[in-house]
Amino acid sequence: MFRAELIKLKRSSTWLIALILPLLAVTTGTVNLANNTDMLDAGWASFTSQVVLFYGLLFYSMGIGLLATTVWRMEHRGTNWNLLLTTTRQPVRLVLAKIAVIAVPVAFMQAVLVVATLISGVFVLHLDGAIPWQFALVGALAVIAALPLVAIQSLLSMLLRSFAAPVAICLVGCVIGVATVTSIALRPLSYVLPQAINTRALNLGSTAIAESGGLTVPDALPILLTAVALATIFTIASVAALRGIKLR
Amino acid sequence: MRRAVLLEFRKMRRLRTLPIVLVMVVAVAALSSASLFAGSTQTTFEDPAAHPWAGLLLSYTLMAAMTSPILAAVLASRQTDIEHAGTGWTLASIAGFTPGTLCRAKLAALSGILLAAVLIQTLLVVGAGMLAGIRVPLDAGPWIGYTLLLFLVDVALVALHIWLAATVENQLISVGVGMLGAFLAVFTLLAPGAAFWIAPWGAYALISHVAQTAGEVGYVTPPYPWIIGLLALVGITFTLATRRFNRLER
Repeated sequence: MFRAELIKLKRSSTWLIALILPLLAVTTGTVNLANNTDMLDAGWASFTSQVVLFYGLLFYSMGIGLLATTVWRMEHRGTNWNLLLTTTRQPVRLVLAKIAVIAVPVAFMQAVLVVATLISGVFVLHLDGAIPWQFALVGALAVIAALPLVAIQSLLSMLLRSFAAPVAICLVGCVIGVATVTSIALRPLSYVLPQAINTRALNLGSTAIAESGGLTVPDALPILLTAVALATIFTIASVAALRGIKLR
Repeated sequence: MRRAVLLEFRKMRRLRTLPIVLVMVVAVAALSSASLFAGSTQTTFEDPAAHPWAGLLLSYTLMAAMTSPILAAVLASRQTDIEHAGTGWTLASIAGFTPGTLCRAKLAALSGILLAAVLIQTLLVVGAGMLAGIRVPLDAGPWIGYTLLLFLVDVALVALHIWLAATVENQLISVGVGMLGAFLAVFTLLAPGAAFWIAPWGAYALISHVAQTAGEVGYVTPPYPWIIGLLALVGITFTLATRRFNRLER
């Protein structure tokens, strides 16, 4: 089933978004650092923080929302849903295949972000100091942290026929997510809101957002454990929705 | 045309357009005014030299630039995608509404929603400022000017996205362009020199009535001729493009 989903993915235009979005983040981060060298003078730390600032707050999560709705789009067309429901495979396999196939371009997006950041830092900005390989770890952690959002957006995209509706819901979640990350009173919510979990993971060790936490086990582990737990809950909910609504 | 616009409002009821816009308006207003409740900001509320209203407008400008292009893309895509999903274009043509008329009706209907949304959003932000305790008199001019221009730029973006959503059936293009546009809109706020070149999203930076120089926030005059030129260009292009829709065979 996963192989079939990969074939569908290969022929969709999702790769365009997965490529352009991180490249835009790196380009804007590079230009911003080059224009403000007097204020942003902490070398690699300033650069990586600038790259992930808006990408982490909004655009990474929005990209995931867009990828999820694109992956489910073809099932809502014509009689594809009926064909899909006649499969002899378990519903859980379909749900997991969709989540996995959304996670592939998400991982690609992160790989592009990390590689482009390192290339830009070395060859464009000529930053001093050792290459921050821990940024690659942040990129990888953000893929795991994205799993709850991947799962919930997959569920929404499965249930809603409209292409833009799940994206609209994701946008509302992102705006609330920004509030939970930047406000002390709302911060506990940032542990359970999928969009805020993404922001927190991408900003581990960042200097752009106050109290975003360091790239340490005590700061990263709660984010990862919550992400895995939430992703499991949303996957179970997706299977239940598939059985209860689509297969009724 | 009036009947076509009323029809679009009826479609919006099923599309849940109003709840989506309302939630976004409240969320953006809340985020724009979140910094008001920080202790360091509250010390500036009685000092006219600190320009507390300009600081609030700057925060509002950033949030609006970050979210408005995506909201415009989502609203336009939802309103237009339904014509692709059913045989909407053909059915409307039978009822006497050509595809071009339908697109213009969609723009008119969504403009009405956006006008109310932008007005409420601004009033909420100003209300939050007063509630937080800003004692300095409100500088009404920049706030009214920004609200009006924000509405006009939003309408221009919705026109662009209606055209995109109607032309390309794959809505990933329309919504994806909106998302990348939002990124560019935020970037142009940080690098104002680039705003003129990244049209139309750079307009979100150009309509800004405030700027930060050397840590100080102050009022600025937006480049009105450039903005009016852009809006006129979008208006003419949209009119010509929607006329062309009438001659296309679907």
